[in-house]
Amino acid sequence: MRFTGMRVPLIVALTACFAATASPTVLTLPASTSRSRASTVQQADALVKGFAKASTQLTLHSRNLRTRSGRYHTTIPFSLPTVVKFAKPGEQPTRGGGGGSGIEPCGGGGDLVLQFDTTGSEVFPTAYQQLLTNVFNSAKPTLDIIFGMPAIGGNVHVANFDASIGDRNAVAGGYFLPDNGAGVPEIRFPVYNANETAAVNFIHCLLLAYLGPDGYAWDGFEEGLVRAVTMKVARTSAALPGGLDPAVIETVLQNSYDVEGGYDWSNQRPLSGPLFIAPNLRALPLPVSGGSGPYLMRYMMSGSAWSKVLVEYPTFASSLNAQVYATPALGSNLAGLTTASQTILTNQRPANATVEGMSFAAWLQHQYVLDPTATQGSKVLVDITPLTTGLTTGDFGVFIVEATYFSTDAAGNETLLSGTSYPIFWDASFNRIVTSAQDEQIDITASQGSVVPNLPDLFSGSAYRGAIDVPVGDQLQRVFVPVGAIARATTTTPNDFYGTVEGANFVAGDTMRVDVLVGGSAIASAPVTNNAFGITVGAAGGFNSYVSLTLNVVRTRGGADTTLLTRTVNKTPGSLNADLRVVGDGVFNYGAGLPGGLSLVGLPIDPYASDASAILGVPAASLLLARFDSALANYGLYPSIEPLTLGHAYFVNLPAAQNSFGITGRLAPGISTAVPLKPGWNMVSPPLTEVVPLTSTRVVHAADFPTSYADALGTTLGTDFFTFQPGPADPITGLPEGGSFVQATEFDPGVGYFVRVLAPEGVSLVFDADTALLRSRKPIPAPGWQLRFSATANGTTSSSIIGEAPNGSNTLNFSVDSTLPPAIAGGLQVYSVNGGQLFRDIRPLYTRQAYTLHVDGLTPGQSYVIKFTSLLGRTKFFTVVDRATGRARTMFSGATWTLKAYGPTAALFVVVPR
Amino acid sequence: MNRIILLMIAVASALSLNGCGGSGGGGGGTATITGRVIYVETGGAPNPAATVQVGSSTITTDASDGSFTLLNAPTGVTTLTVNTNSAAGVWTFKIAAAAATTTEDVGDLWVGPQKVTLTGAVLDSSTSSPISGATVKFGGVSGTTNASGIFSLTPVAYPNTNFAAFWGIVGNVSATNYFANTFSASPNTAAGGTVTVASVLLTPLSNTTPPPPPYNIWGRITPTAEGANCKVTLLQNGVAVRQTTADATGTYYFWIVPGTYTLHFVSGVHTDASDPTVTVKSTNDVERQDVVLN
Repeated sequence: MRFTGMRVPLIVALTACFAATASPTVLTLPASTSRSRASTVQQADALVKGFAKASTQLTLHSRNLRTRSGRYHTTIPFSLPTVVKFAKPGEQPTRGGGGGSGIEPCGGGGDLVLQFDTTGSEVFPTAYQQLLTNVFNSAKPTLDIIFGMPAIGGNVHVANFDASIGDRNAVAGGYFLPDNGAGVPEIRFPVYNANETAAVNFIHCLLLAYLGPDGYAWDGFEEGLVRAVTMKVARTSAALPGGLDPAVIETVLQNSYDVEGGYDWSNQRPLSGPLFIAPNLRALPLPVSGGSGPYLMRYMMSGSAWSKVLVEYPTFASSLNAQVYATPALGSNLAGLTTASQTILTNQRPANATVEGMSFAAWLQHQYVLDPTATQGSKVLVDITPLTTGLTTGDFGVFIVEATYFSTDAAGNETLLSGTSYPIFWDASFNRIVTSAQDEQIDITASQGSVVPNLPDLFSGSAYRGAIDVPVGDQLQRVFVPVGAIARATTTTPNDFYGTVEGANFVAGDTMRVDVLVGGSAIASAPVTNNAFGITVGAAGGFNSYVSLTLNVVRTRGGADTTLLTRTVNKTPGSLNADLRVVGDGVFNYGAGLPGGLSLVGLPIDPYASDASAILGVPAASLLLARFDSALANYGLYPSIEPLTLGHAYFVNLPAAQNSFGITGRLAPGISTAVPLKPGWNMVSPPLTEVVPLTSTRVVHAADFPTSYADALGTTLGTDFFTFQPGPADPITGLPEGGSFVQATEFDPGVGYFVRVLAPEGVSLVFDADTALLRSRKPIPAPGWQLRFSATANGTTSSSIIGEAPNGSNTLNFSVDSTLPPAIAGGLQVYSVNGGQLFRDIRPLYTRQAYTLHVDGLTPGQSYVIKFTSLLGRTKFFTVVDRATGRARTMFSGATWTLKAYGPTAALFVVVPR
Repeated sequence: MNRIILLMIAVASALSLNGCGGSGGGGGGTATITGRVIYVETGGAPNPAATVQVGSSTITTDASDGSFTLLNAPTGVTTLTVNTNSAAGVWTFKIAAAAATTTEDVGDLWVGPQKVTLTGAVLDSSTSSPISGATVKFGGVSGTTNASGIFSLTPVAYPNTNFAAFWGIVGNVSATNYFANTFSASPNTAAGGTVTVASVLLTPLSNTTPPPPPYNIWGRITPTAEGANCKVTLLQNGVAVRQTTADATGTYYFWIVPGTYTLHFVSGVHTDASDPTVTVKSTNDVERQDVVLN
């Protein structure tokens, strides 16, 4: 069977082992004690088919997204090989010696010798076999240099498993068996339609064969290193046989190996963990849309992460592999690997033994995807893809926002959660942006949901930093995006260097720029407006290749330059998004340390570590840590709770006081930060390192405008909130083991609070930073009033919103107004006319206003139900005048009116008294 | 433009079909019913596409995401059927009767290779007493709790092998004067065609006091008159490691590291001679030890 372009493509990017579940890279499928080659083949095939099915449909989903962003080459199947390692039931996979016939002893240095069948069912088409042979022969010198010699040399059987692996809806990527049941290591490979796909994937398969039965205990290391080297080799033209199209190879890499410039966006904690595919999802046939879980992003991010190391240390993988081959136990020793890696850096570049300007240990803790810590609880991952093609008039900052919502249990199994997110889009000053109705809610089914907002032009064509918050339950993921800095409707070529700046002290009259240097020489400079930037760098300084960039954020004040931030970014070919945090790293020290006994602590910092035990300095087996879950009406107890999370609070019971205690992680000074809350009681903490008074706290409910804390009381929030006061010491331990709640009046950093939410949908609590950066922030919109004006007929409804607010305007003001989403020709559409066709028209408070409301797409003779529904504030009486008939009527919120259409359009005046 | 999402496509479809249909012909009018059909084995659209029927109106679900928009559906109908056109068979759901010219979103309707009954209890979180009349929804199936707080939903879609999506279905429970809450079936599986989920606890709206601190050893001391203010000592290897006083209901709590402990109760002249032993197996293990004082 030959895969065609019509078939569903596939991604299988997986290392699987037949062994006990104790190993973090294990796929549990006990090998029979009497296993025959046939039964082994059968078991392995079944395993891989499961992967293939699951991966296929995710891939299609991914492809759909990528297609919209113009990145996908439709003739290229996604595919990644699978490694399957055998071990006896209940045993770890063998490390070290190979033991199979025809295999040279472990230790590195032996070459692989590919063996192809000449007869039987596993014979490749002659040309295809020749292609694979050519790929190996051509790539081998480069593989040996970059990845090192194989752990175990000798024969490797390459079998055509196209027919047996193939599924109608799945194209297998092939896999590697250190022992195929007959004592022979074996690559099982399908026949790809595109030679470029086959070449890339076969390199990947070869590298897995290089590792043989040895390797790394966590997918972040093993798959990541292999994939990074695969990319490097595939992008080395001399390493591949002639006749392959580099552009197509690059597309293969973009689709399934490299996140390229999106690394900062996707560097999120939910990617962490020992396994990229949860054990329970390995055999799950995923649907076309939804249900994917986070594994594809994990695979791509891991390859991109290690590519950053290869930029500065091209033979790093070779050196590290050699150490693991020599001492196989090192592959499962994170501290040992960290030390070994630093040693490699020091040996190769003694004067500056860093990666992206950091020690290896520090760099490693910044890469969530490489964190092998197994954590539990619910998690939300957000994938951002900017749209750069197919833009039309009015498109300013269009992004695919895809949420993946899942939970992890003690065994590492993942549940694909369903739920609803009300995403919040913020402008550079943290005013909520209203886009269009279809972006107000993300319906998540089986872990997956997405919206595609067009963040509008708010600053007369200038780019600005937008923030996208995706809250689900009490989890939230925030991503900063440079709005209007990548591609607009009028853009012919999208920018290739863009990003955002956070935490810069910036006052009126200042200017800011981002200087780009390579090897100390400036190659470009990007002006920063509203904390965002975007330029085209092109080929200057090797920008569009593997290159180490120095990015300087420079502020000019009174003619003098000040460098606020210097960051080293290692990149692969393609564009680059840089999330530049002027004060991004730091330590929050708890003033009095942590008391012994029972206490309530809050997280004003996003810790790098995912392991609460390591953060709190208490062995996991005796760590008493808890967080209330209103859905359970009870506490979740460590380790069955989330990793310590910014803005959340926890009860902790320590055996003794820690007089000096601090947490290292990401800080966000000057950045307003939201904390999502569930209905009922929530344990929260200000996500800032400063005291936050209630007057600097806003409440966002669903798609509504933010309200002040005071206005939310009694409607979406409970009247009072509390903190915990430890009680008297236990007579035996001498430490407080209980305590009481006391009413609180402000939010102090590091302190935990109980806040009660009344809204069934939950709310997001926004803590506004009190810095010079934000002092010029526009006033928080007071409630004022808002009415939804809707027209309905034949089950079709269209609506728009009118209202008043303190910062409303009689002219078009995008801080409160919003224009219509793209129109559907002939469709029913209502809107207000005020400097444009407005979905939301907010005027100044306490003024007499006349709104002109249009209804388009009417069917003459048809009757339409007109309704005004109060969304916010006190109900107003108002007068509605039908311009066609002159008929006037005094109405109030909730009233309806039947409008008879005399033509395709109608207009109404709505007069609201002062 | 190419990023118009399904909602807009659905609206567009509705508009175009309305235009063709010419529904101004009088009669009781029709409604629009929207929703999604999800196959529980995969968490995605059913394959092959399913047929949704309300009255005599039918439509096929979208192949990519299972969504449907049924135009010109009869009003007042409270039954919707989903024919999976596969071995999963036909499923019937109760829906709210749609009024003329309105659009009724019935949400996600889950179907699957098996039909089971989902049962559980809804309790008051502060008193553990049953809540009757609570509305429970799960996978498109809804029901009401009885006087004992028990709900029983059927037929609920159930997978053959893959539980990742089934366990991710979010059930909803609402009751007058309580916060609404959600639940899932995780990690339970069916026994005899029934999946029993953990009790769903609803917190009274009137409860304005934060929950008490966490614990992992607790219990009730009876009779209550003796249990109230009873002094409880926790011992390990004969050495006292913690002491507390039971509350007015005779309930005591400890939060302590895993291990094996002995409990000793003293209330005036009353004691518990048995000094029960309790083992906390891990940091997320909670043990209950009730005791009757002599």
